[in-house]
Amino acid sequence: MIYMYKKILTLSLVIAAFIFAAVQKLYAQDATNKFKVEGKVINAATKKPVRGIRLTYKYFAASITDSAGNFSITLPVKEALLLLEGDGYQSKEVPVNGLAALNIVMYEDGFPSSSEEVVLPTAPVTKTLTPYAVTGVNVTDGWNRYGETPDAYLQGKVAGLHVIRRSGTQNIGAALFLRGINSLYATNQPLIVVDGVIFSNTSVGGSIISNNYNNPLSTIDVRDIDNISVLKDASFLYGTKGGNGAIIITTIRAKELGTKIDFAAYGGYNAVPKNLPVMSAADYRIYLSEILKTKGLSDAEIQSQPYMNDDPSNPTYYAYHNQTNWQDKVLKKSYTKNIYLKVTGGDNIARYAISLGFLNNGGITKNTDLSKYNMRFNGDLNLSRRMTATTNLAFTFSEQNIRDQGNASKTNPLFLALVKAPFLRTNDVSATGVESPILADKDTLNISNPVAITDLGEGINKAYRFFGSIGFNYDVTKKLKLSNTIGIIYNKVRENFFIPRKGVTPDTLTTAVAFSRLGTQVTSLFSLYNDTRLTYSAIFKKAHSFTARAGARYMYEKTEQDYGIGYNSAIDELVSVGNGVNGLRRIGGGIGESKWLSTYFNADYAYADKYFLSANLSADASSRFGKNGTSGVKIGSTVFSLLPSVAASWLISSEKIMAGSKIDLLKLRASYGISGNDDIGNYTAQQTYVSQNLLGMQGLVRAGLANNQLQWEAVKKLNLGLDVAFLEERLQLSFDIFKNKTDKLIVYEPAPTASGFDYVVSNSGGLKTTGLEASLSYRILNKKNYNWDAGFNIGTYKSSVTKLPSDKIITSFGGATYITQVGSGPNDFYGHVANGVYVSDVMAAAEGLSIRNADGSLTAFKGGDIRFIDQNDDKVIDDNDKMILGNPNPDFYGSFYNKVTYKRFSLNAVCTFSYGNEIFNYTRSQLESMYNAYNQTDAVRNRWRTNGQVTEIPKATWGDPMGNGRFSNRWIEDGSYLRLRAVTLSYDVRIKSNFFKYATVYATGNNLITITKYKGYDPEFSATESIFGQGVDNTLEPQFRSVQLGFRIGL
Amino acid sequence: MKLSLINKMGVAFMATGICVTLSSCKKMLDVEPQTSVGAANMYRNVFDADAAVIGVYGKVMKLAKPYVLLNELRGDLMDITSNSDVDLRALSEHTATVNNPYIDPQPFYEVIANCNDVLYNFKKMYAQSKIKQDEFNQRYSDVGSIRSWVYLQLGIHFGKIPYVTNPVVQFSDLKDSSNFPMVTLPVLIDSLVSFTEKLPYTENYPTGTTLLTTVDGYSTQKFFINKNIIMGDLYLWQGQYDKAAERYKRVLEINGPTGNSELFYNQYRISSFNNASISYTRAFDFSSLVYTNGWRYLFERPQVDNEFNWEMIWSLPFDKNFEPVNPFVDLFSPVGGSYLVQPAQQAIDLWNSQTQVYVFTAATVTAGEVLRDNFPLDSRGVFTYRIINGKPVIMKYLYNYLGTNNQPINPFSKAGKWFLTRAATLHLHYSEAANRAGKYKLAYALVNKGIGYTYDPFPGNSVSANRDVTNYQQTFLPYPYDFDARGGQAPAYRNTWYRNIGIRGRANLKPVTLPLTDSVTNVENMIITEDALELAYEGERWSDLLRVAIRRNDPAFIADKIYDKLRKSGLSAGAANAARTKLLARDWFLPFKFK
Repeated sequence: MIYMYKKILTLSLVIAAFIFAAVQKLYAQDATNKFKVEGKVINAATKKPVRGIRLTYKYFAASITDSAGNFSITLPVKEALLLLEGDGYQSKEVPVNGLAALNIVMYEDGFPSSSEEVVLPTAPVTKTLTPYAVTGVNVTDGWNRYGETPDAYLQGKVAGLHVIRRSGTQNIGAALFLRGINSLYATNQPLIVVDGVIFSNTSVGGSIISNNYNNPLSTIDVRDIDNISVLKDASFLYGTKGGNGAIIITTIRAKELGTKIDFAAYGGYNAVPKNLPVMSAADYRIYLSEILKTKGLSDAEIQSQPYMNDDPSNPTYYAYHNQTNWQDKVLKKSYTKNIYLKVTGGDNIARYAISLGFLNNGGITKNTDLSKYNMRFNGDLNLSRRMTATTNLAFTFSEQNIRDQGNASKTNPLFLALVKAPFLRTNDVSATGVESPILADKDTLNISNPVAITDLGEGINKAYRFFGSIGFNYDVTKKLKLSNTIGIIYNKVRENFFIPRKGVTPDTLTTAVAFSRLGTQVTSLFSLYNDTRLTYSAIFKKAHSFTARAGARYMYEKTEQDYGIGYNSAIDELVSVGNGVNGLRRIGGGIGESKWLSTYFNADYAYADKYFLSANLSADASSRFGKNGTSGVKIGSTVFSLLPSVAASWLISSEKIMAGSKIDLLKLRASYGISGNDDIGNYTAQQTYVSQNLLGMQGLVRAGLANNQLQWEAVKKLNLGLDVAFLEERLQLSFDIFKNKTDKLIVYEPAPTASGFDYVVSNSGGLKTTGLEASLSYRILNKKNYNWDAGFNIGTYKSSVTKLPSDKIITSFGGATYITQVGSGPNDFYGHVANGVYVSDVMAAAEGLSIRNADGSLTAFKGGDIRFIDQNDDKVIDDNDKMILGNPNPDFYGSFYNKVTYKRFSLNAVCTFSYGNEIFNYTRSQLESMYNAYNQTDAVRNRWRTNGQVTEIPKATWGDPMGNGRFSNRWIEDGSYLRLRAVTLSYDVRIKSNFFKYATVYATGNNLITITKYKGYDPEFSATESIFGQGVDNTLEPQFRSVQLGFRIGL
Repeated sequence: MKLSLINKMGVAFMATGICVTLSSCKKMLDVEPQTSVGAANMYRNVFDADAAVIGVYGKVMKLAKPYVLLNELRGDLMDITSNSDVDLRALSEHTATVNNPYIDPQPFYEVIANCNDVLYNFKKMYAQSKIKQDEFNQRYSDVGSIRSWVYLQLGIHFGKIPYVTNPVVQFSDLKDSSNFPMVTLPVLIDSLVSFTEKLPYTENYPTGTTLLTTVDGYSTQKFFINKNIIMGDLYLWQGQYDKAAERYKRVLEINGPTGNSELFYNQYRISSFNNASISYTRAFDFSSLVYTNGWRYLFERPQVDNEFNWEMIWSLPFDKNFEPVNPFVDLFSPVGGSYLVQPAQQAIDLWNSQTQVYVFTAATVTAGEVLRDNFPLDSRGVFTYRIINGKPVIMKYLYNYLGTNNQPINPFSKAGKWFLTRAATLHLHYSEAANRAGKYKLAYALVNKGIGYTYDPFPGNSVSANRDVTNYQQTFLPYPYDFDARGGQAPAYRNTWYRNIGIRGRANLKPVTLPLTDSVTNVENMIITEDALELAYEGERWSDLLRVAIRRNDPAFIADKIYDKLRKSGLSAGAANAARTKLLARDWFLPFKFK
């Protein structure tokens, strides 16, 4: 750690010395105080002069272009960046470079400019002026992406931000990985900050509905967002919360005083995903008789099964002789509707921005949908000459009908639809074949009726979130400013589920059989945030800009979860948990509390708008840190982290030598520093006692080994970047390489047996991630009536574990096994390698491989079994033969877009891609393992049946005693995909009325085309927050295609 | 004007914010866990101390399965079945390697870690006057005794173990091996003796203690370890036989050396009135073996009745409504369980080598009736295991689960009990100590037909027979070997031990014939055999065998018995020789998993 500080200090000194030398030299040359610049501003597309463009240089000079686009401005220095702003135009920073005459080209608003505004933890800043790797996202297309949550919306928008949508369920959002993986057990999600307040983005306690996720970001409407800034390295100032980078969201504000009303209404259609190819009734019946035979049933017994009886006069004939496509029974097309209203305006004392929205979005599982209401009120107040205030109030309520997903084999309707016997039907049927309106019960094969779950079952999620903040700024003097922001979040989620008795396979509990299942849960989150800071900023000798900030952030968060699970209500009409049998009811929950205090210091220095230096230091204390931590500093009994960082950039294009160059922007950036991750558990560092029963008496025992030396994970980040713009900014490139090294990685360290505990959570691991990302945007055509923009971004990362207290960590999720070991990736799939199927018993005997049974005896593989690779050559297939089978992390990922505008038409298409990520197709493993009565895919028709048969599909055996279906590369698939993520055609209607300002009509298609070799429904999903669980397709609602039409009018 | 007001408010607001931010860090950063108890709130008063004791016993419950498996499957009475996995087989065949899940010492150390924490904090509570002297003494001694008991178990199985007596506080403590000093079994026993004998309180919790209560239909009275017995056991291991006998004697006479009540005469005295004997309702008719009431019923009895109270000293129940789930159903039962272990042929042979005699249930024994039947078995075997679907099943733990039809009474109710110490254990251990202290006849008496019978030149007379027993039926030995079992009519005696009928007497077996002048070894062998017959599968066996082997410096004592078990086993015969060789080389201990 000391070494780190030294390194940073040395680096800072070198940079400072360099700048100082440069300053001396340049300042000597710069003798005169006045420098007059004249020039002209023209529109890039029309080449016509632009009037009314405001030119400013800090607070020293200002000018405005006249009707001929000409300007004249007198600057105090020769080297400066002129800021150009104008209504309907991009903002732009232009270097003067000592030139007395400038011709400047301006693009329309929304053009992806390298001088766009980004929001840093300290303040908004023009991107040109920051030494950090920051990407700003212009949310102008939010209006036609209304169904998306902000996290899903960000997909493909930012190089280096890998966004994986969790599933196709409405509102469920996406897992965000900004520059890959920094932690094994703590969160890898970037910090979310909304309007200066840390936005508690955790799903409290998880959902009681299988694989649902309560996504806090779903409470922000994309159209309520002005700007999203993604900080890859600039999150240093968030101290121990900034380790994974940060996403800073700024919501709508009134930019002008006149009242402006935007109204939009939409309708849409969600299409059913393509069915997976499961066997027809005829094929299934053959399969079933074969598998039952391997179970030990005799031919006569099999023939006596009701589904084998082919006599139509048999009373059960019609119940078992059908051709039901179960996927069609549970997947349904659905419709969406949405209205949204935004009003902005005000006067010079108070400005406001109000929005209201309502959305109803159908799900693709039958009887699922989402209704959402959201409201926002943002105000800006000029309280006095010296004091301003901002307020932000937002309230969202949503109500969603959902069903179990993922690993819930008895209650996931989609999974059941795949495995349910196709010869059965949804409803009871009479002996003469007349269908009753009553749904069929679970079948003789013990598989639930998926339609009973969708029709009789319930899954309701009601979520509320209030988010409010108030901020004051007080100018103590011209140079000294005091500001304070207080934010409050209150979030509540109420969930209920009901699994009916009728139609569903019962569960076995320890003391009873569970027929119907009922549950309810309430989770709440309260967070209080305060940020108080003093800012000093000054410009010395007109060329040295200096800003220093000292402040403190405080955050208090309290979460609570309470749930009750009941069983066996008397009838299926009694669906609330209180109706369950008293003795079987389970209640539980938890309360979590944390407090965080971060004091920080920041200094930004710039000389001549060419050299930029930024240094930060944060010192954090947290209720989560152990009292006896060994790093950081100790003040009293409190341990503070001490996390320094430094960043520098050189705007080469502002150098004199670049004057008149074809290169519009050339900028080198470098940053290095330490950030932290405090997601180490609220009480992990505290010795606590938990309840331990002795029969019905409650005692207290040690809750495992507390680690009072526990501390934050320290993420050392190095970033080098280059930004270039050519051809009057039409072509822009940005390139970054980074290296993140997590020291003090949290791991579950095996504890000595004699300590009495299995493990202790300790900071004894290490992980590093290196990668690069590049983005490009190009205005290919730039004409009066039409233009064509194209862009591309790509990111790649590679993580490897550098230190672990044990030689390896094996983790499991949904049937997959991961290995974590030093020198390899953090979450590699780890299983057996299958090398085809034994053609015959002779071939199997010749290889002589066996499995070891529990009692130690060996069973040899035979013809039709999978030929697993015997890695260690001991002739026994066991855990020692497992190998790394790939990993869920992509080799690279990114997006490209094309935007073509022709007159009033505009076509915008975004494609996203991910390449080289492996997927464990759990769903297919269940559909091709042939070990029970589950229906299987068409592929198993080609299963091994006789000696000599050459096939890739092994034989069907009940219970799979040889483990042919074990976790192996049979189920590992290439998850690469290329997707037409969103395509929008819009048309600006010609308006002659004074009443309407504008009107736009949209048509948007989402996920219209996906190119992939993946055999499941869809290659994009994320079943869990943990990295141990990425890439496991455990039968979630897939992504689906949707089309939306809408219009937007301005008043 | 309005604005300036807002202005002022704003400044005030900000000032408040700053003050809050800069106010005392400590308060701002402390959180107390809400769903668990923070260290600061844990040890505040006697109720917290009680919770700590209950917590320790809750953890002890989790040792039931390893305790029985390690002590019995490694011994000569229990065998694996065809359902057993390779690890269980290794345990039985003495080939277990360090990663064998059945020999993980972790659950034992989990109890120890909690004991260490409790002991440390009890001392602190006492020093801070948060607990009274008596309360401290009782609870501290209880938890201290538990820790000694767990350590003794670890010692006898692993031979050399880390002996930790302080709570682990810091993470860095884990890295410091000096916090985990290794000790060998003899050193361990010396340490345990010196710790345990200093414990300030040796008796059961007195009536009125908050820990003595009835919970969910179970009296907690028998939940707690008997401190004198663990101390006696430690002395027995150490070779201090008089001291061991003295500690056991305190429990034998827990109701005092004088008194007069059913409790006085029956509790822990292997009494003829205890309803715990083997009996038949008809002469010559083995099928008239009494099933309910008697010896078998000891293992089924509800926790609250008199006979349970008179026999059981330490027993913990498993109830369907509470964790942990009874592990014995899975271990032993072929119905509703996995049937992982069974009685060894060796044990079955042992029971079958005994001779049962006939007696009326009414217990009116006459000399003429006694020697009539001579069934060639020990009915305790019949009650200890049962043939279900052609397979021998260990039944001692299953009587609350399987009904007489061998089907679960309620498949979801895996009720049962863990028998840790009972009167028979106490008598056998006392006899072992007495024998080694040179009191062979006393040991013989307690194991066979009781004090009164053995110390009577004309044994077998009824208590109500008109004869003068003034100078008979007593040991005439000093404390702790003094037993007065006089029961006579003229003059009338109903002295302290007059109902004592001996372990074999209660089982209605022929007494072992030994020349009473014989060496200590023969009596000891008899006791160890009786241990097997009476206490099979109660977790005593390995400890008994090892103690004697070490005492006699005779590895063959243990090796031959294990050899015989494996040799006779249908499943492990091939492993018999290797196991014998290993045990003969004094390689008795399991490998210790350090991490």
